[in-house]
Amino acid sequence: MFNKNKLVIGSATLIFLIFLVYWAILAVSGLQGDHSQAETFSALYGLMALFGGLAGLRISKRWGGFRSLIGRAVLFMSLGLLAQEVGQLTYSGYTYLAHQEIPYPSLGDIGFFGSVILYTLAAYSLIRALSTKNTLKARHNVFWVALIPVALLSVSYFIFLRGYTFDFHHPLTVFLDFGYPLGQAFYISLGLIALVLSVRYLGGVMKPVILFLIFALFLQYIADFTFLYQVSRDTWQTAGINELMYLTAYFVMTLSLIKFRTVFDRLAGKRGDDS
Amino acid sequence: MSVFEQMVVKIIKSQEIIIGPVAIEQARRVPHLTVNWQEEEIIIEGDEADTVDALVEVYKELFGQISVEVSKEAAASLMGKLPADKLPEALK
Repeated sequence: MFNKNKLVIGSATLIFLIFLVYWAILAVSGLQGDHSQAETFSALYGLMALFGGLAGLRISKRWGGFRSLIGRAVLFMSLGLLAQEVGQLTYSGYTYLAHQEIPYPSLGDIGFFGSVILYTLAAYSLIRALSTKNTLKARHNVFWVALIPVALLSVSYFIFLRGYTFDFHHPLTVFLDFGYPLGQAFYISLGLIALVLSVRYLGGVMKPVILFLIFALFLQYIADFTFLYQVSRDTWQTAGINELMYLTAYFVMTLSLIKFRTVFDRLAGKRGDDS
Repeated sequence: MSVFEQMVVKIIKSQEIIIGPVAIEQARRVPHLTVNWQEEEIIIEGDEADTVDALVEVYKELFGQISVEVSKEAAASLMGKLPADKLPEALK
């Protein structure tokens, strides 16, 4: 019987492998950085996020969409992926259509900063799904809930914002300069809190699915952190290692969202052979 | 509706907040439990405490201990209406 789940997983894997090979060819040929081939790769690999985001939107409906906490987590992760693609496409628009260097801030930041907000909402929905009034009040959980965000926000501040010079003639720039590192630290803090709660209280069929989603969020954070770090040190390269990290993060996030469909179909006694 | 049937409604509702329509589908797997969710109609046809235990177990298979905690919180207000020897094991 036709297994739609396997088709979706296969398609995602194919997209990933195509861009992985493309990236590898650019890397081996020394075509990363200021080359038109690199810019083409940069413009196209966001299709991985587009695929994952659209698949995730359909999957979230099966879990109740916005009306349930797991549905919301899947929905916001999917929208986060789509927001990343909006950012990528906008950047490509500057390069290919307007033929100008990408300004900062730019319209692309609507997508990229939007994804930070959406990932935060996804992680928050997960925490709510994994906790009760009593579990959150438990002393050992309160400790982690307080410590993790403080620690990560402090590290981000130290790495990216120490000695920052404020220029209030460009308030949006100041907002994003703070918003990106602190916003990203915040969403991964929530992801780590969800991880602590998962380890303590989560079990059953959903445990590996939720843990994989948190892992995907972690990979996204690594990619985001590396982007900020490389840009701040002027070492970021078009079609460089950071874009490979983003491609991988999009792929893993896509697989993590598809797992929700797999579990849903298993619970319903189906084999993924319907829409 | 009996106290146990009210418990079932509260437990399903609390799980529905987390996992959406999957909560109702999982409840329908429980033996001796008839669920007409559109009318919020619950009928238990066997041992009531055992049926509530089976319902909690079905959610526990899906989500682990957190499902049990959620079920306990949902049913907490009704526990006082039952004698101690009639309480479902899973909610003690």
